[in-house]
Amino acid sequence: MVENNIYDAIVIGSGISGGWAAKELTEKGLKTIMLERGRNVEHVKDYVSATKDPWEFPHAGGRTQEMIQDYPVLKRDYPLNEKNLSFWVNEKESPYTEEKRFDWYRGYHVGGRSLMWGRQSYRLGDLDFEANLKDGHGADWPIRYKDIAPWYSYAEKFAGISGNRDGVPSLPDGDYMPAMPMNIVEKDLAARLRTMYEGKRYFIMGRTANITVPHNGRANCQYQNRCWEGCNFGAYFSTQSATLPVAMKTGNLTLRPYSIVTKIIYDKDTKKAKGVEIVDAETNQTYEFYAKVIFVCASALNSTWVLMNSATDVWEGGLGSSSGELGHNLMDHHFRCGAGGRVEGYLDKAVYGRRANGLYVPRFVNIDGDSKKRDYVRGFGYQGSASRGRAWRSEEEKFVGGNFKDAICEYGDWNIGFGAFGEILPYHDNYIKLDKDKKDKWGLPVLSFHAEIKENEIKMRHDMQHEMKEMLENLGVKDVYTYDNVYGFGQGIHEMGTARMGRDPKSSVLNGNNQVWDALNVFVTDGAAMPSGGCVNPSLTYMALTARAVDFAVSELKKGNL
Amino acid sequence: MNRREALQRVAMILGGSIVGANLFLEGCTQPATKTVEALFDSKMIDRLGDLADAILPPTSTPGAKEAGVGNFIAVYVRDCYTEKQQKAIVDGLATLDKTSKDVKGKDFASLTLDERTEVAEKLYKEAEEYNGKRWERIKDEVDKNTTRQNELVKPDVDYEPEHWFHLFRQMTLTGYFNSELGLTKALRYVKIPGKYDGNYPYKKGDRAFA
Repeated sequence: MVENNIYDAIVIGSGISGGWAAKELTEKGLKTIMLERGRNVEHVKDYVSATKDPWEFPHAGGRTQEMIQDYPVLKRDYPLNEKNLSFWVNEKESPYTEEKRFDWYRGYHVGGRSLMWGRQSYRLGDLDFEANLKDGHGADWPIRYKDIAPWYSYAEKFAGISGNRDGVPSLPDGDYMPAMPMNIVEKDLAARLRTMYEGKRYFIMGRTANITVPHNGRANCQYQNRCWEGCNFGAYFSTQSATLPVAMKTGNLTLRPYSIVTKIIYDKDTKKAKGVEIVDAETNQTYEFYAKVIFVCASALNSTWVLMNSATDVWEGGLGSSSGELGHNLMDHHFRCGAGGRVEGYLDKAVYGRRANGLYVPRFVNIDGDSKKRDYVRGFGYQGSASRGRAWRSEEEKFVGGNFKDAICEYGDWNIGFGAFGEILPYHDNYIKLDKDKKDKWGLPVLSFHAEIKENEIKMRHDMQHEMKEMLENLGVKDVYTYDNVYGFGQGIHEMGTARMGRDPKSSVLNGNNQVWDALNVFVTDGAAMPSGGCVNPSLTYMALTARAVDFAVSELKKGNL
Repeated sequence: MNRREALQRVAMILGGSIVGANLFLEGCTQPATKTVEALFDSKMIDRLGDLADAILPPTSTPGAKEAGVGNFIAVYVRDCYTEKQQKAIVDGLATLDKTSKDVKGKDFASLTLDERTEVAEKLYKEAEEYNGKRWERIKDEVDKNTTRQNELVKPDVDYEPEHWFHLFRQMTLTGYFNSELGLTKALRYVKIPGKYDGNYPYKKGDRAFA
């Protein structure tokens, strides 16, 4: 078979960012090939557990000793489970090196982590875009909120984000479909909190990429809360449910699974990239594909890996390495700490349906006059919910037997709990590099990790627990507890940075349109591009950055500038 | 006997009472290191169900044994437990008749369901006490082996297991509330709720949704 190897555009990766790039490029008429390193996952057909009942899982969804052996990283947190194991990377085939601890939870298949993502979708605001400039950490964002706001709207309207326009000063509102409802306890506590803190603190309904009304042929959320097994209703945004079908429909997309991009081919005469080299993951054959523009959307750290592995005699440290920042300023959101407690009353109420969403508490620290109180910069938000779990003992304090059994089939008390997600500053010495001594299944060098949270984050973690403790106690919540379960860098699954945007090629890898300074027809639009991380879930920002960058790229192509 | 045959035999032994037998046959695609029988013979699997029933007996809703918990535990112990935990369960079950005689003067098998629950109560208390002492024994070691902030993840430590009845009770609860009968008869299982109502009327005695 002779494979066509000349396209208008190449997209590396098929997750949230790659899917968006493919949709936008093909809709604008560009013949595009999307290269995905892993297997194909077809919408509905390959959601192998989505329609199963709990009793069809031999280990109740848990983990076997064999799984624990096979997944030394995944086992460190919730992702190792029986229900969607096939969506997580085979760790034996794709190892990496931890000079310092890094928990890297990857999805190597068509759709990437758009199939398992948390779906919380918030905008960054100028609080975030101006942060680096104001406190001097990291490089200034080359864009401001006004530059990206229309693209947030564009992304939200297509993806289908449900939420309220809450009017919270620290968190810009977007274009939403109707929000999911709060339950009775959440509603009451949210109203009381707002009064108590005079509009400075809020419990708002989570803004999520689960649709609440039918949208673009997708059915609305059915409240099963098993999104990460894949949704047969297409009720949450994923490559498969949203961007891929649109891109396919244009007739301009070629999707090639099992295609590991090994390097971007740089042409020093034109000072541009002319294409990419891949290794076929099944056959180990190498191929080249050529195009006018290349969108690198391989997930933050693999996007940077591709750049690093594209070393030439011009750029020995890889494409985009001239600033010395490639691989540096690695970020995530630190979490696994917070507070919770028991809510008295409401015993005549329960909840019907399983809502794959919860409350959000927008950042309130280091805003306005608040910063005087803090010994750290930036801030955090909370995600949580109130819920009514089953009782766990009978009234006569029995823990076995018939009365016990009947009692635990009924509801017990209402509880409320929150976990905080905090910003990690962009530190130059948090970095990844190629480990050429260790190879993956395909003989390619792996990444080695060197990152840790520092004093600013550790001080923040105190407040991440105690601010919520205080709020809950003020709201009359009983038995309030705090927790800090120790955070492993990467566990937030919000890898960001390592190829940051900036205003100056001397201090950044990408410009304000996500172009690699050193090769202007190469765009990096996923988490790698982030100059700072903010404290909100980042994927919506990747969607907006990607759509914006494609719009720019195509207009530059038309002008003959690329 | 290969693994599939072994599992089929287990399914046969348990007959109609086992829920999802064929499904777990299909579900376990990885070769196991041990067949169920290497740990539990057919009589023992039946006994697992009896002890599970002492914890979650039939009331107005089905008991654990009918819900297939005995078989669930056999599979779970085989696949999900460390060898130390497996040994704790096997050795613990071997002491069941002794405890039963101490409490009720008879073998466990000769007891009525209520009497079996009394034995389970005794075991529950014993397990609580045992686990408390166990924690005192291992807590320094646990502390030493806990991965702290910014440290490389320390290797798993195979600590002495919790009391066997504690493990058994946990598996009983997990198995029952993931079984078809447990979910659909003891709880109100709604596979596809279709909507969310956070202000749903509830009165004592209503079963919880699942």
